Amino acid sequence: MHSAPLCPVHGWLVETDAYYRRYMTREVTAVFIAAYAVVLLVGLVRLGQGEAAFNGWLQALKSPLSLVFHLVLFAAFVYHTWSWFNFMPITMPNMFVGGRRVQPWTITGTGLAAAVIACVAVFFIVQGIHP
Amino acid sequence: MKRSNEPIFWSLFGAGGLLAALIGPALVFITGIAVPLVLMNPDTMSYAHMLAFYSTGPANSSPLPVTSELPAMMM
Repeated sequence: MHSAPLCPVHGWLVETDAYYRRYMTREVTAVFIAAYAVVLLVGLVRLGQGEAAFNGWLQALKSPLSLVFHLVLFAAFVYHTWSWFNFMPITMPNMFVGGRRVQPWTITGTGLAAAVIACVAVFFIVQGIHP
Repeated sequence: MKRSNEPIFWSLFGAGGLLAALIGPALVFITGIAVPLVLMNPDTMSYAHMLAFYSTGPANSSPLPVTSELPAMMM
């Protein structure tokens, strides 16, 4: 099956069907991020309703269904991070340092390194507050 | 030509997406896996601590929630 006629953006960002699929997979991770946002939002509402309601939310997070769901979310988030920085060289304006264009892999590599550092930092900051 | 203010709105999406890319995996791991499984101190997300965090912590005054992926940024 060829999907070219369904894809109006051919020739702009999308050059192949495989590329288009990869791009859409990336975009779909936004749905998972929104789902996680809803989970946190429910927690915030529960917090406002009092201790019993909030503890109910905490308890729900411990259910096997929630744990599996969050493992899926985690995978989606990691993919979001990976693809975000892989697409970054083509989504941002060309960057020049010393008159030479910064190579795409430099941008991707720097971004991924920054993400790893940021994640580790968040983890240890949170752990440091309540060891 | 009249300048469009569209890029400003798009940059909010960009900021939310970037922030999610930078710290999202850590947030999901902490709130959805590590704390429920008690790999981290369960007190991390206790009622008292979360209430204090939302009342006085950076979550209260941070401009971050404004950037598109809002609630994920507030945790």
